[in-house]
Amino acid sequence: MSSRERMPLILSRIEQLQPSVNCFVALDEDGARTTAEMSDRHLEQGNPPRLLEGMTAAWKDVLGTAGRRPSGGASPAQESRTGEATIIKRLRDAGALMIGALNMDEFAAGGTGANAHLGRCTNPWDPSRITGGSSGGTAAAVAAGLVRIAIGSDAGGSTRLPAALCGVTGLKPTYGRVSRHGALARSWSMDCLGPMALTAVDCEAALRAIAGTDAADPTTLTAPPLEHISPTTNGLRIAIATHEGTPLSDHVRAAIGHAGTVLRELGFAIHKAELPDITQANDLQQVLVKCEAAAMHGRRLRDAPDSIGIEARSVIREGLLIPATRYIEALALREVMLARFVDEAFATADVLLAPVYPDEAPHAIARQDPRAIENAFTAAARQTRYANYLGLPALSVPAGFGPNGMPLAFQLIGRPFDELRLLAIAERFQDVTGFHRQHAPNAVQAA
Amino acid sequence: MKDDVGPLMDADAVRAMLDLQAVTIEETEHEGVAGTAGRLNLRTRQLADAAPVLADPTAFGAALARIGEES
Repeated sequence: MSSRERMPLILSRIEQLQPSVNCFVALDEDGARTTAEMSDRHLEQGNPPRLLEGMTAAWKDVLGTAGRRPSGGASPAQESRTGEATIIKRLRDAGALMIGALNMDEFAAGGTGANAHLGRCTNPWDPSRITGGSSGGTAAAVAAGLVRIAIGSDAGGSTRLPAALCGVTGLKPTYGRVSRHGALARSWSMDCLGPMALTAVDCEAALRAIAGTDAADPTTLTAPPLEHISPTTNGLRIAIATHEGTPLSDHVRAAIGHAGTVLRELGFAIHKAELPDITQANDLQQVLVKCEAAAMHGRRLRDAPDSIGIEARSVIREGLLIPATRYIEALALREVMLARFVDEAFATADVLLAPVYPDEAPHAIARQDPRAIENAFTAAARQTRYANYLGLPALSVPAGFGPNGMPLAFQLIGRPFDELRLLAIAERFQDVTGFHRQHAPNAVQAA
Repeated sequence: MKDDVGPLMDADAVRAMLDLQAVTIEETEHEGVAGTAGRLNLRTRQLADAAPVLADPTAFGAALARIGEES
């Protein structure tokens, strides 16, 4: 069936589920039809299929398109001067069918998928539970089968957390691997745009389509090119990384243990290792993200604080009270901390296997106490923030289901620019497990 | 500083925050915005003081590429 012929069905499925999932904030029906025609024409002219030929794609509402400025999940929309984002152009050039923009936490500063202006995005596995955030709409759209590829952004776990809670595969690339040109920032110094999909195979295709240097984003200029061939996984050493005091539910612990067993049976050398102290990197990540958010949104915080939902307000306001010297020190410590972490964590391992989130997705609670919001956010992102501070690639992989039928996950963390190795491991894991192929109750057949 | 904070904090919280910058981390048990900011300030300062050298804060991308290649 051609993409043109498929498009009415794709759009009708979105129309069917949007009222309950609320994952889209802007459906671009014209763009979807146009890119479907472009894809069909490409193939009709006898060209070989491109990386994402005929695959449906959507994106967190931080990316500018030719016809629309992103909202950043804010109302009024986050101020920006963005034109079309590089990543949008690359998706389209790779043959993707461009469907629309997705719900998110306001300013990407939250971890629940609840947006005071756009409404709560619900978890397709159980609408009473959170999607995680801040790329909640991204994860929900994939989990609901509404799009095959969706783009999220991750400055502290915002791709991996919702991917984990919604049972999809989600990649935070190395800082600098993917251009952020045309994207609204959550944190200039840590933002990473990355794909979510049901499978690691699709995530790899998407990464290959969107990665690469871009003169409009200088952070990409020092990144080595992606290899043409996926790296070998033979003989790889994977450390199941734990650290003292990690509060994990029994079922997440069991899922991680099971993943280790599966990977050992696949021929990987599995061992347990104590992770270097991540508390310091987590704290320094908070210095950066809070300061940058306070700088970005300070005027709105001062002049119209009530225009910002309590969730976002509660997690960015501390940045107003951190001096510039501390911020610069936190930036300057990154190289030292990264070198130390790589020396320690990767001394006896090629890849780390670690938790993403300590439990199943919790039920949605409308909290009104800023301290409770900040504390819940900190607890949720304890396992993810350090990878952002250190700039490392990390991939969330579905790993099973909890006692309430909700998805569980682990993450693979690699050395800088080692995304393809993480994806190759996940692809082998997914070859012999079916967690990523389970359908959420509130899902349609994958688009 | 108070002007920067505007309606988000009361005077006591600002005062607590300013006080925090002069005390040790064990003493930063204040709750709220000032407490969190104070703990992050002190943690950063302690780590910076303990670091043998601070890197160029604008060169992290190059460091990532170099450390990735070396490892």
